[in-house]
Amino acid sequence: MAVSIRKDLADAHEYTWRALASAGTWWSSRQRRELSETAVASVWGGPAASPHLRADARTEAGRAAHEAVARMASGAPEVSREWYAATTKELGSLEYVELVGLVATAAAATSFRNSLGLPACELPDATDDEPTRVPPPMLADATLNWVPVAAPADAEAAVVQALTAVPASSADLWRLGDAQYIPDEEMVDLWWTRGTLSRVEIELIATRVSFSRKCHY
Amino acid sequence: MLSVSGKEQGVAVDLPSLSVGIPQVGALVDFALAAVSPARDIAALTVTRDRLVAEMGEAAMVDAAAVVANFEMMTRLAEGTGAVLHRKSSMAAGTAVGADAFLRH
Repeated sequence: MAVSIRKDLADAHEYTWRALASAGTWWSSRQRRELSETAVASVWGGPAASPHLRADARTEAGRAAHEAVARMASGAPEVSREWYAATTKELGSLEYVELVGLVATAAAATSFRNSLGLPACELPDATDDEPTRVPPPMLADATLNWVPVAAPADAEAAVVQALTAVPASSADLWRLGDAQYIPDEEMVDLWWTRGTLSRVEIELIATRVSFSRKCHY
Repeated sequence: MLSVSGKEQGVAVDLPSLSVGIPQVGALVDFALAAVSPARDIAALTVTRDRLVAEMGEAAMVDAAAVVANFEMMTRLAEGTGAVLHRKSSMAAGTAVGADAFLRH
């Protein structure tokens, strides 16, 4: 099926597939590529679908990271504050924040191709690039999220501040969000449309998907 | 945002049943449901995609797929970072659609 995809949306998804296999702030290119493989496999196959979680698997990122990615990617995960605390104790909180961004964007990229009846994209080859380790902004504990966020905490909605402790991951996610949903600057305009779906139609789909994913937020 | 945008545009929205007073509600909801089905029913997805294209056009179907993708992304972002609502109106809307049952935090 040949589908015509508007350019900004196609570009945003192409960027996302590249970013999934590129070095991040706290994970290398090789680690992110294999973690993205686990995320993509888990979106449809559940938390045990990744070849990197086989008993004999040897991974660059480590089993704990793959297990965390698989759990979050698999749809309606049993993610609790206790699980978060145990996972970040093993991985580190900034490393965990980057993994959330990786999982979220991988799920979007996988879902979009599936919805259009297209096969999943092949992830680009990994490089030898190491994580940038760019120091985080000044951080603060939040009441609206478990994860640390850029100070001042709770000045914005929970999802907006969610990845701000790792600015590159936050930027990647919102670049995709602007193309998929509503550009940030248009969010307050309840009549905004691209000429295809009305705002009500957009929000109907958003609510339906969130409900299906059992997301309270 | 569904109830707020519906109110602004004069479109009837019933949150508990997720029924909305727009002509293509069935095509949109069925497509979204097929797209997020954990069973990955390719046949159902194809049928609902073709119906959406027939009723609203290919560009609208692509944008609907993009919105589905966005909320596959946002739900994982919210769950993974333990995001909680901070506005009373948002909490009330969540209660209205029965989302309080999904509270895990």
